[in-house]
Amino acid sequence: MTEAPALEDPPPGGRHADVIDAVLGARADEVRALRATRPAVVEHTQGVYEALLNGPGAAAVGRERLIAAAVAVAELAGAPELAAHYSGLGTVPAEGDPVLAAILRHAARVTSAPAAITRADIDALSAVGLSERDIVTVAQLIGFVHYQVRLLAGLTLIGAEHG
Amino acid sequence: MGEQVVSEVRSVETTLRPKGFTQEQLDWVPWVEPIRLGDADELQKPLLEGDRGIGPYFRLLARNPEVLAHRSANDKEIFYGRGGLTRAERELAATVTSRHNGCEYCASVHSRFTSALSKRPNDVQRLLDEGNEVRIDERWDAVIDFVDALAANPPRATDEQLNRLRQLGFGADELHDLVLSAASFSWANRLMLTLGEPEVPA
Repeated sequence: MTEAPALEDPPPGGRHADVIDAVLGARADEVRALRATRPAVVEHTQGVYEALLNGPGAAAVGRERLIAAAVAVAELAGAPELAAHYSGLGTVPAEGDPVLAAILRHAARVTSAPAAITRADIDALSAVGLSERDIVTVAQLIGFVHYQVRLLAGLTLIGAEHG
Repeated sequence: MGEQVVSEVRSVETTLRPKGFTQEQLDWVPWVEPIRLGDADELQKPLLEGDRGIGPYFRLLARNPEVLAHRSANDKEIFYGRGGLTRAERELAATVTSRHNGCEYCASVHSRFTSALSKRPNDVQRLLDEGNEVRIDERWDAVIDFVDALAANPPRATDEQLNRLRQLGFGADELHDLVLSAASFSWANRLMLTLGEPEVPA
């Protein structure tokens, strides 16, 4: 089990703002009570985010590469506000990095046509030096951003209905 | 002599690839080497208890145990958490998302769950055969249309689709669960489609 971060006294409403709140911005209030009905989802959605970007697996791939991939996936999934969140983390990947180029190429294909991925696509990631753990981390990062995109889109629709 | 380590990574023979979407049991063959259960460390072991330690999928994801721990706990609440949407309709949303993304393995597992929980295996088979364009009944059609649109890239779900569900009696908590199920499988499908492939058991 991963330890939950130690929290200070939570604000009224029961918890601190998470990434979903931050990206929803002014719309977060409309779905705050609804999200609170599944506190384990709130906790572990944030937990995945922290583990992906700050866990030991992130350091192995390169945190700046993972963030660059998250920006690209969010943009390709039509979620500019989520892309802006990742851009706002302020990391700058090295120019001309062949590992990042391979990750971005893969992320774009997994985003638009996941069923078209073949074993050769995975071999291309190994070929630039990514380990088995790195490939799993990259796959989880891409998948998680797609989860965030649908969660944000759905919460926005549900919240607007109540407004 | 040292222990022989046999790789689990291989390509599936053409004749053993599934011929379309099915509710039959499929296997899943990894393209990236999973860990062996005997090699699991203290962080990995609790993530691989029971059935999860048998097949290759969770043993592969356990290569990043910090992420898998939170992902598994999140999915458990989304699909088994108390209250909200019926289990059958959560599984229907997982099936519709998997059908949209073309994940035959995920669709096989979650269509079986949908059939068992709803007791409507023929309707579920029509969904698999015809795709998300299928028309079944007012309630399932409204779920299928909303979830299919949310699964699209970029998502294209609309106020109209959500209002139709509300008119059919879906509460905000149930809509939230539909969104979570579709979001969860927009993630899961991309793992299973890109880290390996399905195989018809010999």
